[in-house]
Amino acid sequence: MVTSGRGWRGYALLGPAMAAMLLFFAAAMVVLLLLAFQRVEEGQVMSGLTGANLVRFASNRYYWGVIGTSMKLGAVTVVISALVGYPVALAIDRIRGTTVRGLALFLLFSPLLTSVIVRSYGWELMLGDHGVINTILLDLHILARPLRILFEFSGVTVAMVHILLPFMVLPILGVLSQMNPSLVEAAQDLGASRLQVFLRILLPLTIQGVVVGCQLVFALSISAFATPTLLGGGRVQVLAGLIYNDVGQLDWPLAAVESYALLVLALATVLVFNRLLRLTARPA
Amino acid sequence: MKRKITRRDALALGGAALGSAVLAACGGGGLGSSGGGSGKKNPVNVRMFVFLGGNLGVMPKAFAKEYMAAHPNVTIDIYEDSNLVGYPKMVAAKRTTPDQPFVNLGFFNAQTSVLGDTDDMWNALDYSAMPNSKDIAPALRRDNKKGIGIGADQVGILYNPSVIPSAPTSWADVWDPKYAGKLSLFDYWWYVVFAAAKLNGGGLTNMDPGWSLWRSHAKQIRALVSSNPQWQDILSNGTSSITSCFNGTGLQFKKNGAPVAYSVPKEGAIPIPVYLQSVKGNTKDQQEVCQDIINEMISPKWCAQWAETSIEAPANVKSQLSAELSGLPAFSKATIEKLLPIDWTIPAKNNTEWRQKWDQNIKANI
Amino acid sequence: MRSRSVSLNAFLAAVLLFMVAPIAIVIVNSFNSVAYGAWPPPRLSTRWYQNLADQPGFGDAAVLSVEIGIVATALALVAGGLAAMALVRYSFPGRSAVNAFLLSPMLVPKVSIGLAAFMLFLRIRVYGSFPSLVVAHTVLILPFMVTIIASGLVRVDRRLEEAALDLGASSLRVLWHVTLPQIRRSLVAALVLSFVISFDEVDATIFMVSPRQPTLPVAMYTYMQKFQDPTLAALSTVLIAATFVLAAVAFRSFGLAGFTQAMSRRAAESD
Repeated sequence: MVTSGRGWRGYALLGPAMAAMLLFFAAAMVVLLLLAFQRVEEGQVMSGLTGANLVRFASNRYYWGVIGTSMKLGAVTVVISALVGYPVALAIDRIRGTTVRGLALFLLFSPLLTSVIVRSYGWELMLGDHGVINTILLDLHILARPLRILFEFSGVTVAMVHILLPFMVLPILGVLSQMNPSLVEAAQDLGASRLQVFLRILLPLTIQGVVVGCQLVFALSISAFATPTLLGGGRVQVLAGLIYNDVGQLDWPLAAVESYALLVLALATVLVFNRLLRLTARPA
Repeated sequence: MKRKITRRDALALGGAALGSAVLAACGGGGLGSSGGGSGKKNPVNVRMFVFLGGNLGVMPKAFAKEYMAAHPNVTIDIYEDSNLVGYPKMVAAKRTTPDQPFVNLGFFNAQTSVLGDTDDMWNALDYSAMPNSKDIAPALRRDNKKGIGIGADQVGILYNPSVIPSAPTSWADVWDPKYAGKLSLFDYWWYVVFAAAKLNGGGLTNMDPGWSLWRSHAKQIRALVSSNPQWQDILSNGTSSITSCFNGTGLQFKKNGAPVAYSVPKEGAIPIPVYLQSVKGNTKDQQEVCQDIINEMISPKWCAQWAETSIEAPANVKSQLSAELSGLPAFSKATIEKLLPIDWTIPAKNNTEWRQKWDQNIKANI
Repeated sequence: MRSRSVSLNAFLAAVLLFMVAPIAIVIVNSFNSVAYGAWPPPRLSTRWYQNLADQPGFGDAAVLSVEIGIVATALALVAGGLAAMALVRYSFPGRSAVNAFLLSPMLVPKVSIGLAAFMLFLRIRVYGSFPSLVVAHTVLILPFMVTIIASGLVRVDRRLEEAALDLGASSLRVLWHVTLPQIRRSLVAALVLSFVISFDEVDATIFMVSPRQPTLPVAMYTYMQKFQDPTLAALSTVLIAATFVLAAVAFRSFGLAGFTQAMSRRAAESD
């Protein structure tokens, strides 16, 4: 996929982005790195560096459990978003009327225009013990007792998929529009089954969009703290939530260590995932 | 040198305010000779930290307006923020630019005040130069003179009277299994752990009975909340019918129409003093102004206003309360006399450890 | 074929219902007559809209957020578009490291970035300034820009570009008339998502803004801490309505579909 352009032109094109990154992000990360090794005693910053913060983090099993929850939430959200988002993108792509398509996109997008606090209120009413969903399921006698969704992992997942779905659908939609529709027709004319068309043609040609969608959804869900905190009711402890507390409680060395831990883990996951997906779904 | 920093500081904090301060100073009596003379004071700008919440900003804003009118050389900027964001910003600023404090004075609760002692955030006040300080209840004066009390809120029980017809009367009701699944708590509400320890032979210095009780009762918690609107909502819609809450916050929910009532546990409510602090790094002029402002704010009049708007007990013994406020259960003589005394250095010193225990004993088990 | 598009459309409808349901509750709640969370609303009222209008500061905060969002999105579009081009079309030593680096800002919790930025900005004396906020937001949305644009670039038909180049078109003309039209939807997706990320950003921004002039999400956070009533639901409803009107106007007056047809026709002509 990479054509051999001359290297220096690649570097030149990277110039503006790297300038912004170095000016702000790299500088901020250096500040965090210094914090991670800072010695703070009785509220006073001491001279000299220490690895104690790292040890304090790495040696506590509780933190690893929290990291596990964060990764699990990220993974589950990505999988559901992809399974739901792909057909949604496909359906929107096939809508002929531009007005209807615009409306569908707007509805998909509308949750992003509400603040998380307000949206969480909506979810409390939807998912609560006496909420809309439980009431319907009870009335239809599908359930005997209300499901506990609110303030549980399941409820958080529902809300995460809800708000992150646009980040899955839009990138897929972007690459779908670049696909030549006659390819699908040709394959069908040649007697390919639906599954074959999907696996051999549709997916390989749109895999870039799926990869990007997964990346964005994963990144946003593992670094999210507001939704897991508000809708988890304390049951869904994620690393971003711990970091938020540690910043507020002035335990900045720990917050810095946790931030780096999250970055490294997430980056490794994203890169490995990318590589795997590209290898398995290389266009024929 | 000091004066130069003042100007630059003020400039950085906002040219507009400085401009109006200069204008006001000029209008007040022309450009005077350097200091000393009466009525010819240097323009001073101070930023005052004020709690975010309900009507907690009402009294400070009214005060600032009146103070600025009486002292044309002074401008007061009000900075409203939560402790969770505001205090870290102050400490970060102190560690980055120590001679330019992020705020110059403000309202801080007991725990932050003690935290600030260790972080070396506060200037000691000269009580002898503050005439109003002699009327402040002894419990709300500080031995190290770092800050002085203006009022005190308290923590008790908040419940939904339509679901729980007879008011909970004991801290033990909070963890009573009959309210299992209906109990909500704000995240890191160590007061209930303290109450549990206290009722089971422990106390601030021995919290273990509290931690072990809550570890075994954690399952009863329906939700740990992390924002006031959410707290109010789940108390209103039947998800939760009992919680432990600040009297002031609970009454605000009630005022909004939420079906809640505040109850004082028979073992005593937990007092939450609020102090006024002047911040280290102030210039000499700022420090003088801050101390004067603080002295004015603890006067009977402003102390009473603070009590009325924040629904707290006033620190000044000469403050007169309205009948509405003095009729509340939280302000009855019996309640005040039974308040559980708290040595705030303990929760401050153990903050990190207690938070971890909260996370690992309670949060991990609900 | 027909049955499949019917089931696909039914699925789409179900998902859109899922997307809209909690938002519909928010909209209804904005007309609640009481402050606390009573559902269904005992009576309907527009008092929270009145209260919203009476709040000082939301207007200025919204303007600031839009300004930051537009400038940061524009900067990130240029920087991120070029970077995506470099990552997709050139191979050079350190390419995957650069890729990982450019992804990083979305993987670090924003509150940590905010704290570090606060200390940084204080030290270099730019705390609270507009440029400092713009640079920070540009960086925070850069990963979105880069990854989405790159996903479109990968599938661009290079033969068309080469043909245009062979016919003597300048590379800038090729970019404008051949490459960009092909990745139009990815560009729109990148722009929209980046803007909304900037517009919604609160965790980092709360440390970086001066208390004098907050952004809209920070003002909303502040309001939420102070009062517990449906005013923020009213604000969200206003935002949704305003976006709907804007989108509809853009749709009608520019006729997005026609616009792209014109673009591709021009591209064909220039070929």
